[in-house]
Amino acid sequence: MSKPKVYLIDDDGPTNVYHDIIIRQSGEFDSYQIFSSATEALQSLSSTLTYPDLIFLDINMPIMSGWDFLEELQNREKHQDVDPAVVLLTTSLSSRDLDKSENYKEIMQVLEKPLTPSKISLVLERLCN
Amino acid sequence: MKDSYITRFLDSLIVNESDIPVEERFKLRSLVLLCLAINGLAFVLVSVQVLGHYKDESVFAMLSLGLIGQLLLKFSRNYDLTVVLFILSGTGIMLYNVTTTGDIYSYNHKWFVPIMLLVNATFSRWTLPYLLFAIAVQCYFWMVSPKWHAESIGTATDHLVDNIALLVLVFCFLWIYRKYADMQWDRIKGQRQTLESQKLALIESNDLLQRRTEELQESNQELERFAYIASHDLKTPLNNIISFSTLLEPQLKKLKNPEIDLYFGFIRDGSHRMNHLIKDVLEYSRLSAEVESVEALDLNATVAEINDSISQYLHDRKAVVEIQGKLPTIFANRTRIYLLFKNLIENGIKYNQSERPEVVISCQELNSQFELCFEDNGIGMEQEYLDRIFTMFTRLHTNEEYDGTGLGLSLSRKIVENIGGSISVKSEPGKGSKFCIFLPLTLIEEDSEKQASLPV
Repeated sequence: MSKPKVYLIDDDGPTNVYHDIIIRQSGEFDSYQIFSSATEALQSLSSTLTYPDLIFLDINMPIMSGWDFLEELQNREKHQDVDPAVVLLTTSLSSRDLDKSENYKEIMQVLEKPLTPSKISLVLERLCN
Repeated sequence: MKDSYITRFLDSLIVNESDIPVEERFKLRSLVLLCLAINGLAFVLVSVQVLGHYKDESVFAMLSLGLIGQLLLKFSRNYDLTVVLFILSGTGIMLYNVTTTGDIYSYNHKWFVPIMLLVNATFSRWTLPYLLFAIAVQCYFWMVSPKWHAESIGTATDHLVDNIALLVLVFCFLWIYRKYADMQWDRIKGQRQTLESQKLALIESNDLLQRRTEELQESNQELERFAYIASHDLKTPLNNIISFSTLLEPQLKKLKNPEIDLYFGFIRDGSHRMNHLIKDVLEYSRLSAEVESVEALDLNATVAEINDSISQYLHDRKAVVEIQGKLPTIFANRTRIYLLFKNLIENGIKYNQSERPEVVISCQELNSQFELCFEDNGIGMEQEYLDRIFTMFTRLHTNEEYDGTGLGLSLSRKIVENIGGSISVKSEPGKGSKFCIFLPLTLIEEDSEKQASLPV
């Protein structure tokens, strides 16, 4: 299997910089794009040819939250057979978020920020399965 | 409309007529009238000697009528009229005797009067006057009257003295009774008013209490929401500090500048401590903010899971966590119980200077609850600190001595209280501490209760 393509959606700049470094250092991904808002990511999804396999998605974002983004993702026309797997990123794991995540089949995992090499390998393991 | 003399007379026979509603009064007046009629009729019949040969029977019939009237009045719950009825029929008997034979004690009805009085005394609100009167009548019949009778037998004075004495007794009683009844009535009225005003005050203060409770709950929820949002938002910049200092650390180490290393150490440790603190505050506020899902939890498995997650720490400290016997399966929230057990186990090992730190977990069934105890061989605590340790941000040690946020035990207490339990601690410096959780038996899954070898 080729290396997965990744979207990273988070409104916090420094977090994006850090995740950029971690993802780059891991060398596990074919290409990755970073978006500072969910709307940007949605626009990109409808125009891109390189459809992502995996989306790291922040929950708490202004204007369009992670949950809103997931709703949009479900409602839009399918561009490809397989939907991207979503990994939710949150600053603090709450049972409320975990319960809510059960309602979205796209969500593969809910992780506490920040991403670490071990978390990335965990995600990749699940993605391959 | 002004009442007529007749109604006023009838009303005056009803004790405390002013307290009886107007629509009731009509009914009571009718009853009084009926009573007067019964007695009047008896009086007339006896006077014309129609019943002359059947005196005892007629008296008995009258008393029976009076009794029926009384029973009716019991059902109407007006005891006062009962008294009126009795007095009327009683007066009737006296008059009847005076006018016919003038010989009251020679008939069997001398027993009826005290017995009737005693019956009334038992049922009535006016127990004391009835009893007194019954005793007085009895005394008269048995002691006074026979003596006089023996002295002046067969004379006209004899009958006159007898009957006048009895009538005086009746009217004395009437007067005393009226006074006593009025007094009692006033007292009861006063009590009722006091009760009424107390009731109103109680309702008012109850309303106030409820309002205050709601306000308090609201502000409490607001505070917890605030704590949640604040700590959640605090985590993002803190995460950045931690993340970038982790990236920075190896590069700074290369500079081999002890000052930089020291300062950097402060930043790193400070941010980690803050991270723990925020995590705990978040956890605490979540306890109230979130609805918990409940499932059957095998506590033995929970302990094993915790042992697994802190296995490195246990290994480093050469510590052991032991279960004495078998722990039950309970219905509770997985995350909360995990957190609670982890807090108590980690505390037992953290505040411990023994070569081989030990935490022993045991379970015991008490009356309506069960007790889960976590006993350690740690440093223990002075008696005076035991009340304080469950309070938020209370710490007995500096961060240099023992790392911590001062939230662990208050979190634990809140978890326990949320599921209807309580937590207590026994401790002695140098000997260790014993934390005991008391939980309602209803939390235990029945099957596990049978399986678990709970020492009783």
